[in-house]
Amino acid sequence: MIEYQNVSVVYRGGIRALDGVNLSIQSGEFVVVVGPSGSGKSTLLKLLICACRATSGRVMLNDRNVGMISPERVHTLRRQIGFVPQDIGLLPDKKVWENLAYAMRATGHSKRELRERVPEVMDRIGMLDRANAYPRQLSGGEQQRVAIARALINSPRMLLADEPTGHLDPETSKEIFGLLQQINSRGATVLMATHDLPTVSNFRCRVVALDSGRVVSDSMGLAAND
Amino acid sequence: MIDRIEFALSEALTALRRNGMMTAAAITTCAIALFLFGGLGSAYVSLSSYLHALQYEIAIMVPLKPTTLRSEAEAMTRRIREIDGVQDARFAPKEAVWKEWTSQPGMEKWRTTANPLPDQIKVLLKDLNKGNAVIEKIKQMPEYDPKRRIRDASPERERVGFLIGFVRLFGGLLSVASLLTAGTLIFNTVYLTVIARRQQIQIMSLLGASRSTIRWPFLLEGVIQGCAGGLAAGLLLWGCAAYIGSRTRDFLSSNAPSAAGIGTSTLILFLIVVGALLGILSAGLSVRKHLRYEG
Repeated sequence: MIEYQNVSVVYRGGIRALDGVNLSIQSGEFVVVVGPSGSGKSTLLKLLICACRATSGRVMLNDRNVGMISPERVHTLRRQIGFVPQDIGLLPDKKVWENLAYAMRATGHSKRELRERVPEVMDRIGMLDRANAYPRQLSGGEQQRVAIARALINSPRMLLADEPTGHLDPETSKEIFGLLQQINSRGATVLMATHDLPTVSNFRCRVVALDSGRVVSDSMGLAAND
Repeated sequence: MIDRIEFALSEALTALRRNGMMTAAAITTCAIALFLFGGLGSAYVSLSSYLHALQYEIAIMVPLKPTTLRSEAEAMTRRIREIDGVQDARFAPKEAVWKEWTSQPGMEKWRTTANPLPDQIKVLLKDLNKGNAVIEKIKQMPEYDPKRRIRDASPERERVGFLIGFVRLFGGLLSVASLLTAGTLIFNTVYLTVIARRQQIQIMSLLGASRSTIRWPFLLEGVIQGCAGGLAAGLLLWGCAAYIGSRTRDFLSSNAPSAAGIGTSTLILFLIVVGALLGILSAGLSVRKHLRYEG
């Protein structure tokens, strides 16, 4: 369970990204955070992986205050959470399967484990036939699928996706959204930040709207009406 | 554990291979810097050792009274050896000194004349700076003949003493400066490598790689670059030393004091170790910046 308790984040230079956010997300939920650029969507996600820290308030993850985790122990938290960054962040000089294998190796898995796990995850996202391609040889949607696969490689119970459909056409965006819902249906909590309201409106999910760092609405499947 | 070592090593080797130009630049920079450091360092050691050998060649000759018995001269010799700053003292009978003197080229004509020299004690110093104090103590001894002047080689002592001090100070400073230069150059090169791969570091960090997992491939990369640079510098120095040696052998007098320099294999090994230390230090410093959790 995730709980934001009166969380504010002020960046250097006095930029207020979040302003007294209170939000509770249950395990297994699919939550989409919407809002214009600069509304604090990415910051909300980054708080959970300690990529930034709350200036005030608390962020609780399974009754653990993530703000209290020391920089040396942050990796233990990040291993429990799959993160799809806004810029996809695939390593350009590694093949698709190497990008996934690298994520496993970097977190201490053996070669034997990755030989079993990598094909399994690639099959799950429908990219098994593109295993030997380099990221530059993939379409935007395929790259996003690989980024999601990489986030799933260590079997996290929670997936955070920051603008996963940001650079994609509407059809591919729907595909990616469908893939995230499929992951959620297998029990993972999914928290996704997007400003792609048309795609969100096609799916029934919890939608949290942010504006200027504040939660302005929190409802089920109301995105199409916003 | 073996798996993790293998991962770090394979990542380091892959990065070195993939960033071929950067790797070549780092190794070349490291080699040049360590070549300068090694060259200056070994020149300093050789020169310092040569000057130390030279100071033992500068002898103080103490004239004895004509009435001094051989046993008294030998007792005086033993007393001189105990003076602080004295390396050795040897009794030199006037016949032996005269024979040696007249056997030098151009001095043969004096052989037939009467020996005007007194018995002497030849004193070698281990610290040229203490020469005057040693002479003062010797002058207090009753066997010393005050009518004759002690040949104290003061100009030579002063010159060699100054050179030793100069080499010690300037050579030391130059070695430290070249080591710092080498360190800075290697740091800059590894730092550029790290900057070029900051995306990889950030991704590793976001995926949950521990700091040590992220750090080790870079450290190994730095060590490999440093070792390769050290080896190249060592081989280059060895080649230069062999060439200079072959060109100057004929000009050097065989009677010149021997300068105990650093052995080639020791020098190469030393430069490899210094390169490895510089590599790991600079890689550690440069990767640290990108390991802040906010990244």
